[in-house]
Amino acid sequence: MGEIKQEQSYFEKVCLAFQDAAKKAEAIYEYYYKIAEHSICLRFAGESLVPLMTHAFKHLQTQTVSKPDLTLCLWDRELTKTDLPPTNFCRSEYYASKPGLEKTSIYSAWQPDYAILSILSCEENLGFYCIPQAKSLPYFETAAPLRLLFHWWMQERGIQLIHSGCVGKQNKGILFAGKGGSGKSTTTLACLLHGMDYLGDDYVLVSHKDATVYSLYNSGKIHADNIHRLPSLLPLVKNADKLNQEKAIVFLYDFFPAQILYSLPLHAILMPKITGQKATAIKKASATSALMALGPSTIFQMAGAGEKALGALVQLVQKTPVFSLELSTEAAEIAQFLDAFAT
Amino acid sequence: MQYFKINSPQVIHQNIENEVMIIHLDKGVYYNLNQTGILIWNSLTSGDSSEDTLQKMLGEYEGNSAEIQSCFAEFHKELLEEGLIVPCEKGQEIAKTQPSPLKQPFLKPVLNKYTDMQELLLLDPIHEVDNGGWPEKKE
Repeated sequence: MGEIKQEQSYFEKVCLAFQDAAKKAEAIYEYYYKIAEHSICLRFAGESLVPLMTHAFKHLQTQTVSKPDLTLCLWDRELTKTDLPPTNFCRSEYYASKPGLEKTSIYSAWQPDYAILSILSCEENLGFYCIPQAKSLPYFETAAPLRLLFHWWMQERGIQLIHSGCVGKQNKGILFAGKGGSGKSTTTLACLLHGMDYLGDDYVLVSHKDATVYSLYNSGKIHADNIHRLPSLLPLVKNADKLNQEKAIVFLYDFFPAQILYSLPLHAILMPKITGQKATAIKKASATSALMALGPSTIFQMAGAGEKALGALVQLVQKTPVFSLELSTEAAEIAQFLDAFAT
Repeated sequence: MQYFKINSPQVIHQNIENEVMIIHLDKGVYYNLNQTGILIWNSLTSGDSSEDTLQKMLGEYEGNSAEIQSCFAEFHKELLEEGLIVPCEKGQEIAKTQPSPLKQPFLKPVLNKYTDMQELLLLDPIHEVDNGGWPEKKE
C-alpha cells in the first residue's frame, strides 16, 4: 500500500508541475475531440506541442465541451522551464502493482530513449504527457500520439486499442491483423487510394462488446522501401526529406477527408500475408489464428496490457469471421479484390 | 504430490476453440500447444498434481507408458524452464474427470515458442530510478 500512496502522491506532484508549466507558458491551448463515443480534451501548456500532437486527431475534432470525459495535459519542459518532480519510488515496482488494477487506478510509463512521461489517473479521468522539448518528439509519436494514455483509459471502458489497420465499404469494417512487415499498412493505404473508407493503418480502437471499430489517428505510415508501390502517396508525405531514417507519414484527413470515418461495424478480420503471387486470394481461418496475429503485437506494445486485453481480443475474434489474406504483388489488384470482398 | 500454477501475473493464457495461447509478458514471448500439450497444461493449471496429470495422460492415450512418462517429464520441465508455471502449495480441489473409454494414439506434447515480438520490448517502459529520482535505462 505504501507504494500506491507514493504513486498517488507522485501523480499529484505531476499535476502541480503542469499548473506551474501553464503559468510559465502564459497560455493554455485546449482542443476537443470525440473519440470512441467519449469527449476528450487535450490541454497544452504553451503552443510548442500543439501542431505536433493534434494533426493525427484532426478528423475527430469537435466544439468545446464543458465537462470532457477525459482531459490530457501536455507540456514540454524546455519551453515551460518546468521539470518533472523527482521520484522516490522504483518504477518497476510501480508497474508490478498494475495487472488487474485491483489496487490502484494510476498508470504510468517512462520512455527512456526520449525521456517522455505518460501518467494517468483513471479515477480522475486526468492524464499528463511530458517531454523534454518539442523538437525531440520522435516522428512516430506525431503519427500516433498518446497511445498509452488512450490504451489505459479506454480499456477501463470496454474499448481496446489494437495494433491493426481498418478499412471499409458500405458500413462494413475490415480489420487487418498482423505484426509489422505483414503487409498491413500497404494494404490499408492501397484500399484508401482505391476509394474505400479508412479508420487507421496501425492502431484503431475496438469495442469488443458490439464489435465496433473506431478511428483514432488519421495518419498513415509506410516503410520508405514500399512507398514506390503507392506512388500517388509520395507527394503527400510529410517527412519526405527524412525517408532514409523514418517511415513515410501522411496525414490522410488533409487529402481524403470524406474517406476518413469515425467508426464502422466490424465485418471481418483478415490476416495479410505477403506471398509474391499474381492474384490475391482469401481463405477461411480460425479464431485462434486471429488471436495469434492480434494478441501479442497488441499486448507487447501497450504497457500494462495483460489478461484484460487478451480477454477482450478473444471476445472479438470469436464473434467475427476470420480469413487469411494472401497478398499479390500489385497493390491496386489487392485493393480491387478487397473492394469486391466488402461489397 | 507436486502442484503447480500459472506464473501470473507475468504469464497470461486463453483457451479458445480447443486451443491454448500463452503469453509471457516479461520475456516478450508467446506460445501455443498441440493437443497433448493442452491436456497437460489444462490439467496442471487447473489444480491437478503432476502425478495426477501423468495418470490422466496414461488414461487418455494408448502407447508405451514409459515413453508417455518420459515425454511428460520433458514437457513439464520445459514449462518450468520457460517460466510458464511455478510450484505452489496445493492445487484447488476439482472434480476428477473419467478417462475416455476409447484411448487416443499418443502424440508427443509440443510447446511452440514464438520470439518474433521480442524487439517490441525495447520499448519497455519499466525502468529503475537513479539516486536523484530520475528513471534510468536497465542494462
